[in-house]
Amino acid sequence: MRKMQWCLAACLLLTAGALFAANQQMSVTVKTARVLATPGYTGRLLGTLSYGDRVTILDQPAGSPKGWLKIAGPGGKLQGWVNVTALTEKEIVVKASADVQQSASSGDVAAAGKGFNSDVEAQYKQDQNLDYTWVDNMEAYEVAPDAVDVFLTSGGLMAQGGAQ
Amino acid sequence: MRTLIRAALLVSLTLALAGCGSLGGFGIADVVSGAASGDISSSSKLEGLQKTGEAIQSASQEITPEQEYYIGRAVAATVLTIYKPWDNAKANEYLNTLGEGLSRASILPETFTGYHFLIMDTDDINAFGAPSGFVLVSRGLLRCAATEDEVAAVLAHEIGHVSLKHGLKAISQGRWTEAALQLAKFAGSNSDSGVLRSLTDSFGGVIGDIVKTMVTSGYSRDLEKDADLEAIRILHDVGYDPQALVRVLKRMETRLKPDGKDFAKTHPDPEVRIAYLNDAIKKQTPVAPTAARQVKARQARYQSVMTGI
Repeated sequence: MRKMQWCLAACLLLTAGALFAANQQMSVTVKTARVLATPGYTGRLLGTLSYGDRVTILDQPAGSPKGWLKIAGPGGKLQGWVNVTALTEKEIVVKASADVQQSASSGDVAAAGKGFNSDVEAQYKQDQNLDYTWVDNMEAYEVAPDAVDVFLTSGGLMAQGGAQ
Repeated sequence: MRTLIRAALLVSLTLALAGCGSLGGFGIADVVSGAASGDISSSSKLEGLQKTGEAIQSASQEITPEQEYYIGRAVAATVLTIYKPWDNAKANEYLNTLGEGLSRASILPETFTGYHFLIMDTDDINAFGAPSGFVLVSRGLLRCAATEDEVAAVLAHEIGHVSLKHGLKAISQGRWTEAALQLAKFAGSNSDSGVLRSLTDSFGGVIGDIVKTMVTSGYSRDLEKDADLEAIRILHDVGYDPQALVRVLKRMETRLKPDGKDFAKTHPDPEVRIAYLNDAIKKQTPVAPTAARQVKARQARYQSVMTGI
């Protein structure tokens, strides 16, 4: 049974490009998504998208690598490649009105900042007298993607990511 | 008649979701008793209840990356009350660069704010891959690694736990139900102190379940095996030697104390892991040989940072 689940998950991921239809709308589900000139993490950075931004899936060129989608950002201006795990099929409403919040429970829409959020964290932190200093420090250890590229290639390693 | 059938289905769904967990103040008991007493005659009420049931089901199956991020932060902060961080900027930067490179080859390269790595200042042999990519590794465990490939093996195993969402799998079914109720409630209402209190209590339960599993009881053997297999796949695809994980486990085996509160308590016997890893590595295509100067470059940077850890 577990093997079947693995196969299913792997198939879903590996065929990501084929599963999403051209012109389909998706949303950025991470804080910042990098849009690259070519599929793979070594691609030139064209720009970034923010949490909740809607993107349009473009025609995927033949032989597109697994796990990457060619997209157009809001307004069609920014076009390039984004890793599929940075996207969701749900619409993410960043600033939701009460009505939209209600529809957010429908399953097709997710309201950003709802549920377990910074307010809950602040309350929990206070309740537990928890110190988040080092968690914040962890997030501050931001390594520039170029530095990762150099680190990997100088060690004779693959930098573009994805299954080889 | 259709109404009765729908009510019966709803009651079944609700009872199934309620599972073994304690329930918060949202009133799922009211939902059940209302349905059972026939007090759901109007279609609007029934639709509302059905929507709630669907929301519960949906939320219990899916925590958004944003919510997973807050869970991961709280889990990491809690673990850091047990183990202190090691304030060594150079070593932590090295770990973050290496870990970021490995995460690119994982099945989940993108988390809400990416992967983050920190060394814990303890001789215990321990590591934790908290949800959303907050990875904590002890100095004791890093001492079991003698090369960059072996440090990569340690990190790849934790990235495996993160990408396969093992932390979220540690949340009990009852806790899911309770959390799902609170999340469903919050999606349809404005933030107020009562809702925040309920959500925070629910959040605390979720964090408690995850920390208890990671620190005290350990993941199941199956989940550990899944993380091991994902680790050697990542190592292989990035170009590190997958056998590095076996070498770390062999060194660990000689250093673990049987009554220790670290990996000795929470992980399967290294010997068992080595056996299935060797079988799996044999099935991989061999990693292309690395040029001598590049091997030297890896070892030089490893030694400049990790010597004396």
